[in-house]
Amino acid sequence: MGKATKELSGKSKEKYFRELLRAHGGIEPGEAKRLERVLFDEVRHIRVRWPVPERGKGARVVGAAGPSAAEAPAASAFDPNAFSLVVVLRTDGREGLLAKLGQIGSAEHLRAIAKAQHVAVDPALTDRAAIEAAILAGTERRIANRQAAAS
Amino acid sequence: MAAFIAVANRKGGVGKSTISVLLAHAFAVWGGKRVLVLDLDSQCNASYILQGGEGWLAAKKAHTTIADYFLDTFDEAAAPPRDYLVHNVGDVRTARNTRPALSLLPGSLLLEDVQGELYVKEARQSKDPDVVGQRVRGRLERMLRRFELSYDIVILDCAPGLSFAALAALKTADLVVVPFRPDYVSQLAVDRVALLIEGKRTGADLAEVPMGARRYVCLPNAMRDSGRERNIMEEIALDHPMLASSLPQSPAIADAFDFRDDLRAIEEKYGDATPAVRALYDEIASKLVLKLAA
Repeated sequence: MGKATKELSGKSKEKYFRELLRAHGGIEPGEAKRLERVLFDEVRHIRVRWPVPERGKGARVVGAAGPSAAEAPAASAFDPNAFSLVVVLRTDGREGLLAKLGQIGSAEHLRAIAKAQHVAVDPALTDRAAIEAAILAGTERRIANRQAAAS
Repeated sequence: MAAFIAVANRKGGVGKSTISVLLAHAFAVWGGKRVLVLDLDSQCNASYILQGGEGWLAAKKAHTTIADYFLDTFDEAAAPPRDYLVHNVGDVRTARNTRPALSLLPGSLLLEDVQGELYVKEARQSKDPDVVGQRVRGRLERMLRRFELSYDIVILDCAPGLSFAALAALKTADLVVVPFRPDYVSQLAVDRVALLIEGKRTGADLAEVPMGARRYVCLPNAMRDSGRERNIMEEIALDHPMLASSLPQSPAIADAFDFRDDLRAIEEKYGDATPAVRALYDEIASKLVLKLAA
């Protein structure tokens, strides 16, 4: 990951974990504290994306070994799995997901996210807003499918 | 009084037996506990890992498998449960170079058939299928609990799918470990087994149970640290309690599936996956303390 990552240890590592857990709204405070303790004790060094991306859904902790060479994007490469469409939709709602998609650089990258996360987007769509809307609809279907399977 | 840990998922191939054995080794060696593994899966994988094919065959010939235990003692007969156990199993040693206190009730290829027989037997008492099912499950629960005074930890290696034995195990367990592989189908399987464990009908019902109050924890297995896997894990963690620990895709863990007829250190058996195994053991042990205290 080259220049896009940074090694953390000691207090900077603990601060990173603390902020990361706080940014994940789904974790109860008591559980977050416990996870903090486990992470402080078990992880001596970590390599993280740097600068820190928008906290919460996009933040990624990369283990000491990092992703496999086959999956590791180059420093400037686009990572279509940098965040989960489903997680963003469920935690930040439709507006949150559209805002997140709005930050994506190009229509090709939007399509790459949809493909990587198994969300169908009509290849005939060319308008960026239409692609974003299709991703939103596809993500909603994905959630509905999972709920249906468990009922 | 033993703590009961079930390792369960309705999906096959997620590592239930490997993880059952791994936890058994960890509790017996690192925790110094008296551990019993009940092999409730008719594939008998945990039995093969812990005693090899020959050991399992000996139990089969001696009619001391889990199916024999259920069949022989279903009517509260006096056969002592200990007669069905094999002691000092496994291929790891303690720090003092001794065998750990690890016992096994071996699995049986006939476990499903025997459960059918027990159902028929119970059906003579009632014509209501629900009542019969509940009674069979209740009896199996009591039979699983008969070991609770002799061990510190009882690990229930459940079969995939639904069976009376698996349902009894889920009901009996103080903590259910749900291993999953980070893929789409596993995600659905976690949702379904969670409903079963908590006795809920829908995801909405399940959501009303606070994460901290649930009897199960999810364990990501065979992780390769890809972005897609992490996304699936995050999606599952929105609805289910997730362990901080995970097990990596590791040849050492895959090889640990093989029984070796010589004792070795647990660190040797699990090789470079040992830190992950240790972290998992520490986390499960602390969770168990909290669950039992609650």
